[in-house]
Amino acid sequence: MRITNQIMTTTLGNTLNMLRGRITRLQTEIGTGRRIIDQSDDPSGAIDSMRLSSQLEVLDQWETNITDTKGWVQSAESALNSIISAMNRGRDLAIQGADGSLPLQSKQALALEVDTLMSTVLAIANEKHGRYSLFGGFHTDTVPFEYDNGVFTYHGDGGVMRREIGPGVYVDANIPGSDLRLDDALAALHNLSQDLNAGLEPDRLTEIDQALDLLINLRSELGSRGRRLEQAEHRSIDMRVNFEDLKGRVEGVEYERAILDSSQLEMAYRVALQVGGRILPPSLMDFLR
Amino acid sequence: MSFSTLFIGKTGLDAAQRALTVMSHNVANVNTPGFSRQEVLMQSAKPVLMYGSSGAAQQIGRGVSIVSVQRYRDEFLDRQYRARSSDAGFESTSQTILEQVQRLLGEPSDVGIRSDLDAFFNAWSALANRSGDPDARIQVRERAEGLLVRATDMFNGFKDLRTSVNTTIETKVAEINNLAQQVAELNQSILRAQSNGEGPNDLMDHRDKALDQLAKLTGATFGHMANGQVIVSVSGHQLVVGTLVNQIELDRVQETDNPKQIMTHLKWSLDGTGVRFPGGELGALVALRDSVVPQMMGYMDFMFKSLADNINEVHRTGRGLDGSTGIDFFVIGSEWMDVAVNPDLIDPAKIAAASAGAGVPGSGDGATALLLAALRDDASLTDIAAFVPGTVPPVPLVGSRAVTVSGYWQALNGLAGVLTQNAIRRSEAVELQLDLAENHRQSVMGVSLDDEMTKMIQYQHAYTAAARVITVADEMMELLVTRLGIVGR
Repeated sequence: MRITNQIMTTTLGNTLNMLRGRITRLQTEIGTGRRIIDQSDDPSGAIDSMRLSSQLEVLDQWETNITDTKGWVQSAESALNSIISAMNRGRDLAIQGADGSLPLQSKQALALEVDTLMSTVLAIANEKHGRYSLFGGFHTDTVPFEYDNGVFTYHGDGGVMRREIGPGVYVDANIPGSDLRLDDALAALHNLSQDLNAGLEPDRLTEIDQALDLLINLRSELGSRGRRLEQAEHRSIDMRVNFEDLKGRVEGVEYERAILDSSQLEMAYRVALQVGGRILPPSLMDFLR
Repeated sequence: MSFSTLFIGKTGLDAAQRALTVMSHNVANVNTPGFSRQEVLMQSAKPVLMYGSSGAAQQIGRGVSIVSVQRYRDEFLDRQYRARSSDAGFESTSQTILEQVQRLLGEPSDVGIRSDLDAFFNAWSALANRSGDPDARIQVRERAEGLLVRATDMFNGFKDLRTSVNTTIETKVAEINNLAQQVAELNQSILRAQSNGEGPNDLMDHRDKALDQLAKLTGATFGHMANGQVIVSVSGHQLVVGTLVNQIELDRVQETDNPKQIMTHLKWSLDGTGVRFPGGELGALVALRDSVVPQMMGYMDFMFKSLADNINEVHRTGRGLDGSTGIDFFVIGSEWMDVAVNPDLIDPAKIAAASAGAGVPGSGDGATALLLAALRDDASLTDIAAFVPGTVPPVPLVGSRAVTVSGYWQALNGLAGVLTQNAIRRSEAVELQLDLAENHRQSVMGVSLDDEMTKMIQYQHAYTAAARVITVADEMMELLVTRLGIVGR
């Protein structure tokens, strides 16, 4: 083949251009730390990367939901603890008051304490979690329980708020006030107080125990709910690590290789430049006098 | 006898001089694109008959004569080059536009439709946590609006891309008409010059260059008439026949189907039929403007309307804080991408986060918000049969399976990626073939300075030698005229 001056210059130009293109590309990859910059760099990799990014974002939301739910469960747990210890105290008082040798004055003093316990229980049951009523069901903005002279009213409903904590996994955040059966608990204490005030020997242990059993059951349910949330949290951390790792592998640059490639390319570029610089200038003219 | 030597010497001088002129023309054009090197074709002159002393006639040479100045060109290589050039025009144009398409879609990125969609569904999930909070409600609305703003911007980006492709088509068509005119004019001048025996090498180079450009632009094919004039045809229609030009006319038409833009149709001026380009830059521009880009727009429209439909269907069942129910979250129009957040929801209490039912719900009721958040995993989007009645069905996007909205978006980006990747690969391959074809062609027609310098030396020597011949003849004549026959003077 006859080689002309134009062939030589364009061939050298093309080679240099190709090398420059590849060097620029590698530099972009190293600079951004990403192997996939446009979809066309690896279409299926780009899809994977998008899918993993989405999974990481929904994981963020699930983690927020878990934290939020844990707050609700912990508030409910501590409220239940306080109610249970108040009821336990009531139970103690019921046992004390059942002592026939106790003078009326002492019984009345006990009755006074029972009354205090009742208002404590009521106050705790009306506690708020942040701005929301803890035991109002869906009615988070009302004071759920009202107790006036033995008349008990619940203003909430049986609404159970659910939270999304995983792929199709839901957990209940609250216990609606109606499940607490506070009417029974308060009625037991009310009866106890009335018996004591009247100087009777109260026999209200069964009533109190019934209410307590229910509350303790609810507390242990909350406990297991808390453990479920802990597990969900751990799993979500595992998933995050897993997804981050996958995402890095899909779209990340292998630096060692990229740097090696880049130095090889630089070398090739230098060689091409040097060879080009040597072969292009001379022609027969340089040897004619 | 001596006079004839003088004359032969002169033919040598003439030939060498002429060869040196052509050589310098070559050297001057060493970098001119489309220039074919030229060479003087020489022949020994017609001999004369001389009668020698023996009485027999003898043919005696009369020096050299110049037959013509010939250009080096191989039509077969030209054909190959133009075919490759048409392919390269098609592929590199496709590549450029498809790269813009995928860049418009803008994934994978942390700020794009993908992340907006995630944020939109997450906002519903967050609303379920705090369904009584006005700010959680406003957040949902803002996320929806943010998503739609980005999608609409993107959609308008596609519209702009189509318009700019259309403008490019108009400009390139003007270029084609201009080149066709040039070819027709050159056809005429070349024929005239040839019939005068002028050897219009440079004019033929100009015409070949115009044909190269036409091939790259249109994928046209070329033929010759009996008189050597060139015929240019595009998909069976003749653009140039000899000195006649069938111009391509522009006709701006308002589209009646989506996306309802004003686009330019191309018509042959002779019979008014539509112009189809078999390849070249125009082939790619028209194909992308009329199929790939509007398809992307149609996919986006389908995706966002499906999303809006699915959200509406669930949203209508829920209740707002004020007990309102049966309200759509999105309002959907018939134009492409005509989706907006229902203006009634300017009152955030009307966002239906609460469970289905009647009356005013408790403010902690976020059951419907949870259902709406769960729509992120609802795989209900399938392929569309066709965007417009009567048109070909588009490239299958998700095949036989149904996907989620996010899955659809991923598939759309995947498709753009595959199309672009193919265009890049083909473009690289065809570019290499084009270089190869050009090198083959250059190997025949290109100017090599080494060759020219060799010829320069050769003809310079020839010139010197011919001059010497004349000197010798001169001396011989001087001898005859001045020194002979001194006796008796």
